[in-house]
Amino acid sequence: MEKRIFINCTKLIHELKHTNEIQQIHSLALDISDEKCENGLIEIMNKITDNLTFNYRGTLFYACSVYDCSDYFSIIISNIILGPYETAIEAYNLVLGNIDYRKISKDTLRDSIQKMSIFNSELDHVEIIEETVNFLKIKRDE
Amino acid sequence: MDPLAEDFVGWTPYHYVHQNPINLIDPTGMSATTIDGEDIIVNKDSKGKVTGVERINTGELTPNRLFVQDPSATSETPNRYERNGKFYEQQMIPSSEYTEDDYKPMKGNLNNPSQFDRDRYDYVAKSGVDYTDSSWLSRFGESMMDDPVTSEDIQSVISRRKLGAAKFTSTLGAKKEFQGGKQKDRDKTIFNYPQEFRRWFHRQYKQSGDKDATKDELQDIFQEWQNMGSPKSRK
Repeated sequence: MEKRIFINCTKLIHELKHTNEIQQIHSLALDISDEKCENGLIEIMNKITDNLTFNYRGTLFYACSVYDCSDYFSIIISNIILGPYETAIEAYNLVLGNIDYRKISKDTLRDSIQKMSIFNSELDHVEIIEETVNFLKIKRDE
Repeated sequence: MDPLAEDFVGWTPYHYVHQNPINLIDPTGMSATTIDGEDIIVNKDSKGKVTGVERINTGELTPNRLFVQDPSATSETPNRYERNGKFYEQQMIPSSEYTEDDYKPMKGNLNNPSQFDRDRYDYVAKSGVDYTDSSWLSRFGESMMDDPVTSEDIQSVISRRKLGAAKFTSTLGAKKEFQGGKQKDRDKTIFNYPQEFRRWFHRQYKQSGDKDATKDELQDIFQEWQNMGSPKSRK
């Protein structure tokens, strides 16, 4: 069983790495998430940071929700700021539930709060930015 | 002799915080600096007469906000904030609703106020305050007691802002708890959709390759999902 998942994961990750089709990227990211493939997060994050997926990242962030995303905290924060709405919502959900805040330094939290306080003028998802700032402040003060 | 005079060419040495005491303070007399966000709370009696003004420094770079007591409001009244058993209506516009461009002139040239500054000037000027006077803080409170800013005054400021700002009111639900000052105690908004909806949305409703949904689209889809009896994803 484990071997099957491993082979399947290797194939899925390889395919994700080499496709530029948004439709396929979404579908593969969800499959990788379903299998909870060990190295899946790295490849999904690679796609998230690819300009190609701008405006299509909501599902990709959703696919990350089975992983510990602490190593990608800054990417997540940037996408909450940049949006669009669905992306910001899914990224915000990762901030709430998929970050181990023991791994995030107080300086990083402070920087993120500062960064978001400056850029919180995007009308469509300003509430998400504000909520993220509120949440990070709680974490900063803990 | 002002040691920083060269930094402020074009300004008379007799001005205070670039004639902008609403946004700036100058505790050392050397140069102006921004102030923390502030909540201004206007209390009224049952007849609607202003009885007092409180100011709470949030200690953070938050937008200034104005809360005016609504004596007729109850816990059932929508869009009211509760504090110490009293209900308030938020009337000031959060600066977060301005775009980045609205702030830009402030950074480069203090002689040329930003849109945000201009709106704030108009807003305070209507309350009868000479905002070029450094004692404006206390006088602002006094003038509010004599002649509080009306909702029409505020509307006239709102109307000059970007249309998107109107969305602010739609994000407020029914009764809200207002603790005053601390962001972490502020309202929860409705955008935190349940996990089951998100699963259904990404795996069943949305087709692979679809563009990200906008706020309005997502709200409509959420409504649709609820109308369908909140089905679980088959995938």
